[in-house]
Amino acid sequence: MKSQLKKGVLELCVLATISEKDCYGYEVVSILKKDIEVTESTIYPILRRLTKSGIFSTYLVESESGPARKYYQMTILGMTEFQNKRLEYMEFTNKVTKILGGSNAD
Amino acid sequence: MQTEHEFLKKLNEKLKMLPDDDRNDIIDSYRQQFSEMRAEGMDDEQIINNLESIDVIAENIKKEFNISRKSEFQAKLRQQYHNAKTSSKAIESSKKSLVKTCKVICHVAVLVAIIIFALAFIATLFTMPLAIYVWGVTVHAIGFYVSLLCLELITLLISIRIISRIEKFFTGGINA
Repeated sequence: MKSQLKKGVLELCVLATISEKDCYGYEVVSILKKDIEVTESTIYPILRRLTKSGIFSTYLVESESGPARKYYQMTILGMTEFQNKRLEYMEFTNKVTKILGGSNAD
Repeated sequence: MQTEHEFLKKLNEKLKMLPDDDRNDIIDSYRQQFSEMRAEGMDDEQIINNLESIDVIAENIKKEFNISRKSEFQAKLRQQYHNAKTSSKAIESSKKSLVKTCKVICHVAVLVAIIIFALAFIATLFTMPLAIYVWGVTVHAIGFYVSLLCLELITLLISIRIISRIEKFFTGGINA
């Protein structure tokens, strides 16, 4: 997928991942990497931006392997934002699928 | 072979245009990444090979933070403005010190002139008895000495005046 389209969707994917359970940065990337082609350099700034705008809150958990892990957690604001964006996206893709399906039938 | 430290340092350099807190957050995330991957059994070189190149990372991050070429240009401009301001301050202070030096030199010159003419005065006074001995107490001798002392005094006043003119000329010229 080309980057323009991917950008907005990636944010939604990050939201969805963290709404499932609290994650640290590397974990988010690992989870998303299983299904879509993503890199750290696109995910870390999204995490930062969403944390700054109050969608996520963070907390540190000590780890044996090295520096403390920074976990991201959905805030209440984040939850509502995610639900809205999810609905918006679903509606949009439904329409697009319909259009694509229609043109296919022709 | 690159180490984690070198990698993060270079990345930090490339992300200079980001605000400090954003940049630190990103660097911390990558530091975390290194430690996680190391725990999976990779060494620094393998981890770096697994990551994108620093240029690509920086480019993606800048894009994500909406750091466009325009804002980079603006940041550069701001930097240059800042530099110009500091250097103009430096010029101002060097100007001040130049004025100060000028003043000191002129004051010393005045002092030297006064000393020289004081010595000349003393010398004149000491040769007076000799002249009186040769010429006797005559109008000649007294006239000669009075006029000599007057001449010395006038020269002293004129030289002080010239020095103060020079001082004014230089300090005024620098301040303008």
